[in-house]
Amino acid sequence: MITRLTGLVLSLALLVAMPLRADLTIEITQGADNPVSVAVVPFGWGGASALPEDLAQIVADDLERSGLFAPLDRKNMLSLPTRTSDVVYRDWRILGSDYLVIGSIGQTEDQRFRVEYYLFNVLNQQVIGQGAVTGGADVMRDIGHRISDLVYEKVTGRRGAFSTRILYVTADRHSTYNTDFRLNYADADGHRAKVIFQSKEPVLSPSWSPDAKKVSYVSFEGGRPGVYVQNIATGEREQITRFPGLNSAPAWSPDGNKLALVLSKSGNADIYVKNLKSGQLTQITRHYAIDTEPFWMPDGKSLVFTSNRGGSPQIYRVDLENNWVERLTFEGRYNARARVFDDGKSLVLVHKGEGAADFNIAVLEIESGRLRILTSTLLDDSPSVAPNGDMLIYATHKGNRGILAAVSADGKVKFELPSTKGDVREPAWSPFLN
Amino acid sequence: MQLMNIGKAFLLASSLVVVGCSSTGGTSTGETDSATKAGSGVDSGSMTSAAGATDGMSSLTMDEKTLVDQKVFLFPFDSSNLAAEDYNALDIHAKVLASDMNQMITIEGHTDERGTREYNLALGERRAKAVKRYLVMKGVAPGQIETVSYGKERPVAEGHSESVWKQNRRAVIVPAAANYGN
Repeated sequence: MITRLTGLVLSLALLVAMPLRADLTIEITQGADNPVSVAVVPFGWGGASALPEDLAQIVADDLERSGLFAPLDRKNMLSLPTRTSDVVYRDWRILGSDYLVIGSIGQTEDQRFRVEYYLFNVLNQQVIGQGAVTGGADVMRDIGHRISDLVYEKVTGRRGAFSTRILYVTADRHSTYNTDFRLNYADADGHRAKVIFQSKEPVLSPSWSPDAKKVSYVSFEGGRPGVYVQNIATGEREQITRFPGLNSAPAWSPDGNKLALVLSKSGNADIYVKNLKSGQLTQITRHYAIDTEPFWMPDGKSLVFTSNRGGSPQIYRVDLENNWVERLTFEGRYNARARVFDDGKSLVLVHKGEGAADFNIAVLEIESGRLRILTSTLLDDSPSVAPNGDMLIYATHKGNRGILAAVSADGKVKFELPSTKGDVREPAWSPFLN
Repeated sequence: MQLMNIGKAFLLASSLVVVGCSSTGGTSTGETDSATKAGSGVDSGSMTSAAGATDGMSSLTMDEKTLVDQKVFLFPFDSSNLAAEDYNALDIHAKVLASDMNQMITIEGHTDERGTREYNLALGERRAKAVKRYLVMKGVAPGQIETVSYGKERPVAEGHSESVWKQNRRAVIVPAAANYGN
């Protein structure tokens, strides 16, 4: 844990200074039916100065946002233990808390913080997780998310995704040809947002490299689109393609060596694969219809993509070995921009319903062809799957503004990340960072 | 070139009263690129005959000028089919471009906010290319036309209703030169 955090400190320190943007806040709009009751006690702190962050609050917020946990209100706590010997299980049983998190913070000689924390199963009166980490004020939020990850994994059996990041695009429109486009990088909870690229020309389609160190995106700088790769920590950029016509929808291969993307240099939108090592460009689809929005299957052997070759946009899969194309969606007149879950068994996509603005997030089971519609908001777009597969983040509209929202893969938990300014769109959830 | 212009005007727009077409003088080799580009309206007495050209800068009739002012062409949802009612205006654009190989245009393709961003980029490109294909079919050199799709990134109208969407589903002719159509 300590070595992991040291790496984190380094990578954060490398982040180039960028203007800070207003963080996104989170509003939970729908939770699970039977959330797990957990008490996160304010962490002990003997220092003279105020702590830079309220760690217990970060953990409680993370857990609540997952929708699977119901954190106990601090006001109702009967005791505030900070050491294992202080814990009186009865206090927590009475309140119905199944799990308990306590911790204490001390200061090291070099003014850093040492955090010790414990997770208890209240019913069988056992410590089921613990850790100790040291870090500066700038990684206190990271430490909080690590604790949340531990709790999530110990209780649900699945890896937590609280320590991950998101990329998203904001657009401040002043007029049709005067809009500020910004590519933002933030914690998965919307905090610590930074602008990593901005332009007066459109910026879209951010896609993470599998090692979470780089982002590929489309930028219209110079008046026409190109596909670029940017190192997130150093800001270093590289132009990958800028052919006449479309240069669109980059998607990193699982091994990180290739980008699938869309070009129309031969007259029409087709899927290509660019080998980032050799520079070789291979055309994958060749059809007079629109082929776009490629995404890799986890084994790297085929791509899913959107095509209107059947008369309306639907999802297809192309085998990269023999270019065999197979249609995957049949329900409805508009299914587009598929992203694949890590198990390769289902896709999340944008599905159009009956109403003119009914564009919703839906999950398709590939094998059965069963389509489950998860959202009922308007104009939903750009779903992206958390690396643990438990949540999807997507773009939607509230009032007259584009915002981000998230929904659990089972559709039961929903929350929104409203912004204070401009349109927020195209969230991309990072892979695990280590 | 200008002769072709006149012929086309008659052919394409028989219903239009053709006045103010350029004289054949316009074909003289003395007519440089820069003269055509930089405002024949001001000092081009030698290029245009007086016949009806009251503004002194036109190779188009008044009616044609009205048509050439139409630079926005609208499309149905998820479609790149040109509307038949736009043919007249496109014909005049073809005439302007075919009559002067130095005139360059960019055709922008746009979509409404519905649907996915990248599909809309491809759809916008199809709209721009539908306009280009029509102009080329009418005699314009492909090299005079660039296309760029902005998808749903640059809406002209804001809001979430059909009246707004309708305006945003468009292809726009953006001439490089200020004197385009004059």
